Amino acid sequence: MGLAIATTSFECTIDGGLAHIVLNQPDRGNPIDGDSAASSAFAWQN
Amino acid sequence: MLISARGRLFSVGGDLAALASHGAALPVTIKSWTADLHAAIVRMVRMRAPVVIAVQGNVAGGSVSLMAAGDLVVIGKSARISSAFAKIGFTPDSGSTTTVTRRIGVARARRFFLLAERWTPTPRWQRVGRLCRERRRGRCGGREDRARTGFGPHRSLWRDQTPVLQTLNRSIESQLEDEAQTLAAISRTADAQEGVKSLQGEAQTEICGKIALLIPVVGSRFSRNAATRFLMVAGFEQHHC
Repeated sequence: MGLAIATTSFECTIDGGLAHIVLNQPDRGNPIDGDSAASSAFAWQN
Repeated sequence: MLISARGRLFSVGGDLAALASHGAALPVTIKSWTADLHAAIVRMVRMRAPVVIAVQGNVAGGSVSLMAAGDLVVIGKSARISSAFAKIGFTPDSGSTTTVTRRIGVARARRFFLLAERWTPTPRWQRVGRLCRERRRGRCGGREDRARTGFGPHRSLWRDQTPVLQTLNRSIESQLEDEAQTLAAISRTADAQEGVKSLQGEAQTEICGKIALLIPVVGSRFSRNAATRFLMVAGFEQHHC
């Protein structure tokens, strides 16, 4: 397993050159909110 | 890169309950959220690796843009793709005017946004426009669509047009900033306030193009008329339900 990042709204794993982002708030319908937006921006920039 | 979601739904889009809780700070909240979200979407669109998006269940509002931004999209049979913006007096954000429009074309995108369409994964996806049966020669109904736009937010409809039409000639960065500014402005209107309240069960949705006079209008008739004229000149049309 390579790099793994987990936030409150999604999980990201990078393994073997493949990145997989999984939206991870199924009980809320995986909404877009302030936290998920901030986490996304942080993740994409890093 | 693969993007998918856990659970029955891919994403319901923006957390409208959270947005509603911000009350008068809604425009500021929208700008804050879109600043982060739009930066992330631009990064995703501009990245070199191909992006595959797999969706199931509801894909609504801003998440449609995320889906449309993918290089390859895998759509499950349970998918329900919907543009909910017009139903709550909002305009598209999250890059929708670019990602969705470039994916399906200007004409279909206009239908999708203006009529707040909800699509299922049928052959309709392959069609450029909706076909209709002519009842009489040269007449093609359309009354249903007209009725649906009649209940839509007039100002949103008016503002919707420009970003969708200009996307083919502009960078995604410019489009996203335009979307954020437009939605923040729209969120001040009575339409958007009504739409958000309806989600909290506080009111029936009554989207009719009304403007929210945020300027305290307590003066004479002259000042009220002046304020109205100012807003109309600024592009705020006033309609009465």
